[in-house]
Amino acid sequence: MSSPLWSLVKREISVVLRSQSEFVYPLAFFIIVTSLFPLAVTPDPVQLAFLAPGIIWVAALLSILLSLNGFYQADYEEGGLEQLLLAGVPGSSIVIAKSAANWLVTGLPLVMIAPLIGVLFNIDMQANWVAMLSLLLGTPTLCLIGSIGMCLTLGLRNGGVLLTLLVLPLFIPVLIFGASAVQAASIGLDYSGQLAILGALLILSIILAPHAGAAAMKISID
Amino acid sequence: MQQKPDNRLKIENLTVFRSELPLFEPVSFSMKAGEAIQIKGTNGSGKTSLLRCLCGLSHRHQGLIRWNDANIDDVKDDFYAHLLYIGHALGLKPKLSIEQNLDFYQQLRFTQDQAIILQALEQLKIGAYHDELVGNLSAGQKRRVALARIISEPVSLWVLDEPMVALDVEGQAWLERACNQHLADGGMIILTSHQTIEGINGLTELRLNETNWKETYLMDEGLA
Repeated sequence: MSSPLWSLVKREISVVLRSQSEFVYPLAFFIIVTSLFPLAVTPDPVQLAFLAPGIIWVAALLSILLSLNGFYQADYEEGGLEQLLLAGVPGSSIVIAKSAANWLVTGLPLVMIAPLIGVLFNIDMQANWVAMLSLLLGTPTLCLIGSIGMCLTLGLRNGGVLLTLLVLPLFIPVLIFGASAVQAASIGLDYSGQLAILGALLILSIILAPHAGAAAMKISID
Repeated sequence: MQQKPDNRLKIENLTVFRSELPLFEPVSFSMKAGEAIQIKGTNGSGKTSLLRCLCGLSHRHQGLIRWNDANIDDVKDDFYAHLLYIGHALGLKPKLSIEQNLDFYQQLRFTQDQAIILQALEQLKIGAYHDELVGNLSAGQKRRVALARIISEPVSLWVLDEPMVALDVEGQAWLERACNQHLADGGMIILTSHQTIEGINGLTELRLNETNWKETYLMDEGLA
């Protein structure tokens, strides 16, 4: 017998893995967007290496944004969320479980595929590792922050547009420090400060996002 | 069965608001073990809103909802351990199988009993499809899967919103039998339905009367 939190994570993952569009689409989006840049901007390896940190991070941010909807909207419409609340599962646990599942299904594959994209952009080994590390620290933060926005816009028509407007400003610090860590590494500077800030943002969002999300969910369901 | 015969639900002067206007005239009722209430009212009279407030999902109400003499928000854990709510949205995941759906809800109640799930599905004549994805079922079959939870999760208070919708005659007869059994075991049932239900023993009726807020409002504003 397993704890409700873990069965919730398992359920979220198995639901998403069964609808392939939810699962493959964000990853495909990431690969397609990043691989279009060399074609559209320049094939010059030096310039590409210069652009790479920003491109990888922007694409990762947008694909996380794309993946959020699949974890909340359907569950809200099918009545699953209210059944969870009625089973006595705290709203904050729901947010934690959904964010964990979201990251495992969307964030983790991005982290894994990032070094390949790095090679495509001709960035050196060191910067490639830092890109992976910064995504490892940054993408869970994006999932958690996104979940707050998602809980606020549940049940709204055109919630997607509002979600983007609500959540993007909060994504910006993660984007800035993530891209800047990779940039610093690629020109041989110290990047530990940026990674430390990414870690701090992650801890902050792990502590705050579940509560903010739970409060928002309560308003949306009322 | 974890039946405590001394559970009581009491509603005092409850009315539900929509856009700051009351939906129906305040209602009061109380129920104890073995009692069933059918809430009746026209479309839009607030039946679903009333049930959602009763379950603590919505707080757009005035009046008291008491579970064993305590406010439901204060005894949430105990109240929810005894409550099963099946609403219009059935809470089933179309991408999971019938059995996985029911199993998940059991796990949330810290139990796991596959035999009782299969037994419930057998009673509802959908036992043969227990591996089928819920998304492939018809509306009536989905309703049957949701209702199977009344067997697979034995709790004392059932709150059922229009449980007869989409069910065939046989399904309705099954539900009436299940309700009677539940009442005999000391359970409580609150349900809404437009139909007259004759098969459930001792079903009392509660009618929601629309408020005359329109007239009052217009008079206050000097418009009528």
